[in-house]
Amino acid sequence: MQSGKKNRGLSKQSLHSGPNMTPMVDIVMCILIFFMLGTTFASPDLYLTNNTPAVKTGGLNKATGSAKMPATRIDIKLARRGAHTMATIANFQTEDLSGQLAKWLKQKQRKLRSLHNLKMGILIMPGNGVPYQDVITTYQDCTQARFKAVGFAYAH
Amino acid sequence: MVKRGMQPMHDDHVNVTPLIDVVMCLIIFFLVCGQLARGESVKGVHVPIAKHAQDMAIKKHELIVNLVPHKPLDYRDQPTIVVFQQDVLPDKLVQLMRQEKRLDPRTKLVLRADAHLPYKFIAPVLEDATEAGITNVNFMTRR
Repeated sequence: MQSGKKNRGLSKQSLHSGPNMTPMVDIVMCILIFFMLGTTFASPDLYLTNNTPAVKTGGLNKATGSAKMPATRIDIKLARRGAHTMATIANFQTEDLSGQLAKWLKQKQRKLRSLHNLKMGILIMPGNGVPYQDVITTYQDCTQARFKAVGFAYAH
Repeated sequence: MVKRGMQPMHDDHVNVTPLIDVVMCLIIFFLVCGQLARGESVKGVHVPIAKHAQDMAIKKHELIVNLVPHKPLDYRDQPTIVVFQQDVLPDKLVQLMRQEKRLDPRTKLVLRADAHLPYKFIAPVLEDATEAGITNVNFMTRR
């Protein structure tokens, strides 16, 4: 009777001959939880690149800094009016930065290209109270219109 | 008729092999698709939106300058300048930039400023970069 019971027990044990996976599963689960908590799915960092960052301007809007700008340039003045930022270029003025400026710049670039590819720089002259977002929007409009040299005035 | 070959195994335990397969796949997914929080980025900065911004091809030689608003939703005071996880006084920033430029001539500035900050706080950083001879400036944005 007893020997029969022993045999049954042995035959059951022999079925679990593989490695014990429990510690591995524990560790793998820990690694998984670490990655889930430590990972951010925020969109990757994006940049707008500029090679003519700052141009010091004097009282007569004359660039005095070391940054190089083309001889001919467009000055875009940004000023805060209430909740909006207005852009002024010579006689042209926009009520906000919703798209008028981008359209104007693209038209200007088209004209310049027809005039023997005349290269023209842009100097963005934001007022002190203009939010950084509007400065970036203006800069993006300039780059989208394919203006290469775009500088920022830091005193005017 | 007698069956030959191996006898089928009868295991009372749960087969964990598919579980490990799935978990391994998840780990690889997180490794590839996710990115660990970057050390240089400081919380509390909502960078501006730019639809046409691009990812930087080479993320080397970066000098990340964070402009963190002094208080949340208060943009009137001078923001805190954070570089290499340390607060930097506005007067000392140009010195730091010069030092970095001297150590690595290919240094490029990455400006990580809050979208709501007035330009009067941004301009001095650009001025400092020009003075330090850093002409490559990258504005960090989001879509």
